[in-house]
Amino acid sequence: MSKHEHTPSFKSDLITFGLLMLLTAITIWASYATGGTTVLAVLVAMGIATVKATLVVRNFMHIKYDDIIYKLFIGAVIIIFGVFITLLAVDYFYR
Amino acid sequence: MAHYEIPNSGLKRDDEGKKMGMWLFLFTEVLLFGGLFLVYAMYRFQYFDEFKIVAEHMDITLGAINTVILIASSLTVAMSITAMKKGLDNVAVLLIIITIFLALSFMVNKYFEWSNHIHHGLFPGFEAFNNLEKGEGMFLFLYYFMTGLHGLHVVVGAVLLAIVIKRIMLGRITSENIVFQENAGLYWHLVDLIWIYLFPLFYLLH
Repeated sequence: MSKHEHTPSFKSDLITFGLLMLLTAITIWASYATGGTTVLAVLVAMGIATVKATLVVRNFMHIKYDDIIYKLFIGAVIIIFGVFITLLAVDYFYR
Repeated sequence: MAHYEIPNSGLKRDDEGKKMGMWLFLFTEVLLFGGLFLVYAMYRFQYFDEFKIVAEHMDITLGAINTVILIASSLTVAMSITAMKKGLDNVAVLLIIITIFLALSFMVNKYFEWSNHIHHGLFPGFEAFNNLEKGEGMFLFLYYFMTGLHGLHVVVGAVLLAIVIKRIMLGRITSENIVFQENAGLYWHLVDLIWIYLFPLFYLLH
């Protein structure tokens, strides 16, 4: 049974780090370019944060090597949070 | 892997179970912070202008430095696990020591940031804070609560990593028995994940 085995490498760790740093620079630049609190600014900031979070979970937390069950769990957590924030928005705007 | 061979194998370990337990714990952490993010979203809608006014006074440079520190510490933790799997115990220990040092730098930055706010009386209970508009106070309250809870996680993560060093020294973590180090790493990456969202929400949306 070797389906969990993978060759760990410093190189892939460093590439992930480089991408995270690049995205951090982009999100700081974008916050000025988009004017801080416009709808666009919020979408861009949260979008970039989510790309960074995906990189951390996939490459640093090794989800890409893990069983499908972990991916399903994470998917469920994202859906639950999505439902909560949608309900919050509906409640706020239509109360 | 060992966990498939537990029956009659003489091994008394269940690495897969330990890892899944850690992930389930991490999901409860996501629920904890997720609730706070919902509160933040609610009040951001409600006090849009007030949030903007206070957010403008946040120090983006300090926030960015702390972001770089945490991402670098995530790298060193990931590399320490890679090193351990390759059997490079000393490299792994060195990388974890660097991680703990980065965690301390993060907390020192936070100390300067908070003391600067508190010096201006912008902390619940002080007069300057009480004179703020309701929404402005709410931004600062959420800022202290969420970055404070996150800072607590940084401290806990650093303690866990110190335990990892001790266990490597004692030979209780080896390239074949690495699940404790991997779980401590997962916790550390969660701390980084939360900061990835806190940074734009409190510093960049100004």
